[in-house]
Amino acid sequence: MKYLLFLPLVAMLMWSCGNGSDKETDNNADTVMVDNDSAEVMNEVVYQIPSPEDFFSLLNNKTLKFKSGIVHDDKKQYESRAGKELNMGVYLSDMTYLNTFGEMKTAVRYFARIREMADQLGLSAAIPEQTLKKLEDSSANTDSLRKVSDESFFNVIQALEEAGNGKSLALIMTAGWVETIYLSQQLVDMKKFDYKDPLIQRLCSQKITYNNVVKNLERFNDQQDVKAIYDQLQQLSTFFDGLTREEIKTQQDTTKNIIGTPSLWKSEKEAFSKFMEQILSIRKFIVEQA
Amino acid sequence: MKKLISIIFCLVSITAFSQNCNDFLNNSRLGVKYPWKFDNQSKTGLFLAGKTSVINVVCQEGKDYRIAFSISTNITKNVSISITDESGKEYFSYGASASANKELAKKKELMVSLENQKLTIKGSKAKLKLEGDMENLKLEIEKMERDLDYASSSPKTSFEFTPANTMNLTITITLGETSYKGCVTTVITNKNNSYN
Repeated sequence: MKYLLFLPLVAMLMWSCGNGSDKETDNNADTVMVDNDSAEVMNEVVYQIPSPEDFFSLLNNKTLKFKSGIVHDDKKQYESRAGKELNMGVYLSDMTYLNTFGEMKTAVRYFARIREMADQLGLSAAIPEQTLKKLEDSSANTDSLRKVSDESFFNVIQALEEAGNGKSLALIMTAGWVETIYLSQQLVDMKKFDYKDPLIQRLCSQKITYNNVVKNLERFNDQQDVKAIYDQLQQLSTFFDGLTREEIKTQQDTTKNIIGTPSLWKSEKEAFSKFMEQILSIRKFIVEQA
Repeated sequence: MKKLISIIFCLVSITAFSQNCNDFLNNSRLGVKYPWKFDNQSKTGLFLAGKTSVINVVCQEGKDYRIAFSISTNITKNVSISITDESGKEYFSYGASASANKELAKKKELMVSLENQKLTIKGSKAKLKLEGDMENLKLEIEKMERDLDYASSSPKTSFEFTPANTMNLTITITLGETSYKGCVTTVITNKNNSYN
């Protein structure tokens, strides 16, 4: 009987050893003991959407100038759950934009707003209070905020997926994507419109992400709040469908495994202006939720 | 006292040995090393025999990507994975891919039909040609079987690439016939490339 007391300790020791090796071996295949009650069976078809950070990190902040006053008012309160979810996505994107351009103080304030909304949505565990305190106390830099926001974003996704709340996740991701496009469009100088401009190319390439955003929403389209934003997004299909690709010749890096053909998206100034108006109207619909 | 010890033992053992697919993804995320960055499009899930899942992932121009797979060891030999683009072009495959197996089955069927033809064919010239075709087909089948064997015994579990333009990649994961179930985790990492 005495020895029985040590068994749990041995079990714990084995567990911790296993976890350590997981981290070291990175992505190597390993054994996992599946807890069938908590493990989620993957959907048949999944449409993934890159995070705002993945988009903003590609913007060249040496040639692009920070524009103030374009992020959403962080004092606005929302009553409905959909309003909270959509605008949490908006604030996630706003914070990433601010951080990309080194606007640390404001970015931390937006992080506090995101944490407050996570609290209201029952996701407090995803963004613990200590995380915010740490950021406010220390003179946090861009990298530390990026790390914290990445972690928080991952935790929010995990928490919603574990709870089987794909609908909330779809709303957050959709609004985050719309806000990312909106903010980036505000940096375009329409007087010097040139479809070859790197920022315009990035915005046009969102045609690929748009398809995933729409398909992801379709799963929950029978619900009123999702249907409303889904219908709003439909207006963008005219612009994206009208885009064509022009193959270009570039010197290929032979050290890399390059897939696909280098190309440029062709868009007209008028169509692009209309696209900006449409995004502005969808964004208005999101931020003016009850 | 005995009861209490038993309860403590059970609780600690359960905590120690039960781990879900999300834990697997979490651990993989923590193992990502600079300059690579964890991509939130990564996905994990439980697979039962016969299940197929398709994950659509956006890969942006200006970044290098690495897609790696972690598979529970009890189902490693039964999982097949492929990465294709929208045109259906396959860039990566793991295990006995469904398309390769289908192709092999087709060739075997053709072999049976040629063998039947051989029994009824008249004329030595035609017979010789048929035997030549059969010999070539036999060699093709043997090569395909060898490749499939190799693919399932020493498979690659990751794919590194640079998209020339922003594209949607489709990851198709299938768990074939087995009495086990397990996790398949797709860990996506990225980093900005030098052209950006």
